[in-house]
Amino acid sequence: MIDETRHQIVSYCCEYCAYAAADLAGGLRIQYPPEIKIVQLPCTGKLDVLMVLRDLEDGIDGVMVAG
Amino acid sequence: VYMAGMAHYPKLLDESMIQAQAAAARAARVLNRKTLTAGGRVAVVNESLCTGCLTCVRVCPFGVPQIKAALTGVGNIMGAAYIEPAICQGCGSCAAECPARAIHLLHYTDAQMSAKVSALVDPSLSFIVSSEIATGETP
Repeated sequence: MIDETRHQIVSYCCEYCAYAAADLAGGLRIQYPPEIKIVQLPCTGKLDVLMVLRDLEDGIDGVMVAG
Repeated sequence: VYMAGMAHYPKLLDESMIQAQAAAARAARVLNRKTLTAGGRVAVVNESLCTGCLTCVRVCPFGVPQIKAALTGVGNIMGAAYIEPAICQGCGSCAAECPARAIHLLHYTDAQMSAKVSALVDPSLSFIVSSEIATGETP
């Protein structure tokens, strides 16, 4: 059985803002749920719809785009 | 971009002049070079897939892509997109928008992105779903 409480979320973060913020949060030892997996993008403009759809197809529960 | 003097914040005249000389020297260092080293994160066009639709030309925030008549696009048509690596900022907007998928951003290719995601997610959780469906057995 799959544990319903543990989801897989992929977070696409812009290198200049959201990823930098996540980096800073890490430096400040701020905790965030381990279900969120951060993937760095050079810019949110790089995000391809196909990338998101492929992730959802592969069984990822959610995709977050920040930046 | 090189800045000096009041472009930063209000300051004294002699301070501005020293700063301006330093900025000019920094600019001259780039201008005096015969060749420029570009970063590896640049977009490259696969000309054999390019239809010359101008999407990359319109979408680029830096106005880098151009259609070169000397290049041959898909189906031997005249003209294909060209991205100058020295001025490409590597934002990847063109790679995402290209309808023919003729542009790739180096270091962020489709294969590399999917490899990153599959390496990050825990295979014992969500990915078990797809393998269950594939094999038809329950762990």
